[in-house]
Amino acid sequence: MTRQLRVGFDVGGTFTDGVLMQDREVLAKAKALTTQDVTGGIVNALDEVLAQSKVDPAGIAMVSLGTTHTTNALIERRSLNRVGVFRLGAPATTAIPPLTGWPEDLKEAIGGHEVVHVIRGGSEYDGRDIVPLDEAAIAEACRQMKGKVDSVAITGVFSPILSDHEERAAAIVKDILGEEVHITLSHRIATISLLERENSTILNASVITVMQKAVNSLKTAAGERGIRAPLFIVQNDGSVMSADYAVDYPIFTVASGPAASVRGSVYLSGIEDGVVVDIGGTSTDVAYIVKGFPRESSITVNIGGVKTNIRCPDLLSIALGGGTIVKNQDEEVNALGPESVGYNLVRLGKSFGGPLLTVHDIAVAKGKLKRKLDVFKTAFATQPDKVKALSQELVDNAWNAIKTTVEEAIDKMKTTAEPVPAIFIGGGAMVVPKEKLAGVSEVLSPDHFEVGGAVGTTIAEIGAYAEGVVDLEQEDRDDAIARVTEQAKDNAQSAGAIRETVEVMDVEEIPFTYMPGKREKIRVRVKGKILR
Amino acid sequence: MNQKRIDVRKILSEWGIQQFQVIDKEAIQEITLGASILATGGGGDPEIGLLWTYKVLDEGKQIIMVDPKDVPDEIQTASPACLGAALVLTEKPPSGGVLNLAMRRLERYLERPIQATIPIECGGVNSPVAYAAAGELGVPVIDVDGMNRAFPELQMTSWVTHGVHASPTVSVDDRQT
Repeated sequence: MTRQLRVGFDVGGTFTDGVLMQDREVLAKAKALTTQDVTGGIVNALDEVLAQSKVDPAGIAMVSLGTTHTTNALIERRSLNRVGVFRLGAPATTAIPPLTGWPEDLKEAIGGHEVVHVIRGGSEYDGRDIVPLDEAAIAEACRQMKGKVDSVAITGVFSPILSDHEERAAAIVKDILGEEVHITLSHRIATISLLERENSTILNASVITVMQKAVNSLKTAAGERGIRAPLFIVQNDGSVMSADYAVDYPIFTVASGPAASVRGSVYLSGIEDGVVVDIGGTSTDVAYIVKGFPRESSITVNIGGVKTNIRCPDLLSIALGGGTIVKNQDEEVNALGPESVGYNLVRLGKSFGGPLLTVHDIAVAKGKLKRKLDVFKTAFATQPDKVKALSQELVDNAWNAIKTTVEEAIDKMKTTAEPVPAIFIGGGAMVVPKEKLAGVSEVLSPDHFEVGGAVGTTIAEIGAYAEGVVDLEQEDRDDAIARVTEQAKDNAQSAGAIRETVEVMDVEEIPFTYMPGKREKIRVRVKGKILR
Repeated sequence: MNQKRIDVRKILSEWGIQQFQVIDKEAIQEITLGASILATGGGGDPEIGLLWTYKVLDEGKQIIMVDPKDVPDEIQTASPACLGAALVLTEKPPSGGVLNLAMRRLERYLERPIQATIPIECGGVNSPVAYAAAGELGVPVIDVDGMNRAFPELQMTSWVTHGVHASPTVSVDDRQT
């Protein structure tokens, strides 16, 4: 690992964490309140770590962040681009038009049906044209949408195999709508499965400006502080991509935060296979790590109410955090949450003299909170006298309920009957039971666990993948895999990796069923380093 | 596609059916969830059939499911379905007009109208597809199926074991040929 200085940020619901790293050493860490615009919180955390460490900003080699800019914009339907939608696939595919099954408010927020066009074109599975691409219809549609769209999404049938029609359509769009209208092509976004890929492509097109503004303002803020390092954004698989690449592919950052936490856990604990439990103030994310990266979700991923097929970590989120309210009747616990007092814990929690019983208060009553984390500016201090009035039976019942909740969440994510190591990180990691957990071989809470996500962004590895459909009667299997691997390495390089450091993570082969010949889809994932 | 169809409610009153189920989005969601489980790992992505049915409902068409015991014995039924590789279907969903066209070709061959659809598979994409087709055609869908599961070949139904073969069969593609 490099001796160069790296700064990393992780944006959470309540706090934005920042760290300054050199090699494996954390030189400074900070927690700043997450701001509405997200960027403000990051800048505050940056100022804090710079002030703490007193390093020369010019010596910083990379700045990276796990962010929620795109996710927030999509969930809140805020600042979205108006998207011109092209599907190249008629006369096929018309049984299910674009935007079918989308929430009405999101459809409206991106410009509605008026700028949606299904054009004659697209390819068959073997690369033949379904019908020749109707270029005149694309040109006509562009003239109609002029001034009505900020961004265009183009999805062609079987474009992950043959992207020709998408490229030709893009050239026409660029010609008529000009350079200022951003174009997203589906074959660069996701894999086979038209509707989910089209959804992913349209969502990507809708958050281009959001990401552009975020990247520009962060670059400016870093520049003003004398930092000349490149900016990187954590993508959904936990690796990073250059910020300029992220501007074109913002949809790859929707799980940026949780993915960074997983990578940070691996980095801090040294555990490459096991379960990561990231406990915040309101919720807990449980992920499973395989060879140091989060296991991918194998089902469609729902973003803002829309089904997509982008690569995302398989995450289980449960309503359990430090601020989660414990609902009880006398000694019996009725429920944990789902409500949380969040940042108001210091006002509302029983151990701070407030009216509500929370998970934090139970931990205090159990004597589990021995010290306050320096990184919290607020007084998350131990005040056991305030919870002395609680009955021991209620405290024990609540403690057991919390334990069971954690155990069940871990069990849902495990794919083996054997006990596995569990890494507990996040600001709430101190307030949950860690002893004798069912299904767990050992619980680790490594140093700096409370800023694990921010540490995870600084690992400086770029991930990329490529896939292709081959006929093994026509092409040798090893040759085919080598060809797809080269493509994946090209992709890693264009995302910012040093070519010689790129290595293969896994090779996946999916045979086509019910099809003559020996056709299969090959998918290769690679990772490479950014810094020497 | 502009061929005049009898209203589905008219068919029900002709058959003297008072008990039937109106299939709305919620109902087709539940049917699709069941189809996902009964597909037992095959059968194609039921989501395609679900979204197809959504589109038919969005166009204001009615989908009515009836009990097989209420259906007159002499009527002509048909089982609309998608054929081919499941992976191709998820990448290249069908043309909106294919079900109608296939049914009309079948009617022309049989020289009598199709008066109800039957889901050939109870599992996978073809379960909801029969509902979408019924809505498009303006006929009821009958609450039965061919094998209680998804299956890979046309002859694998309980109907064939009782001497009812998958013949005649009409197939059309997206170019409507």
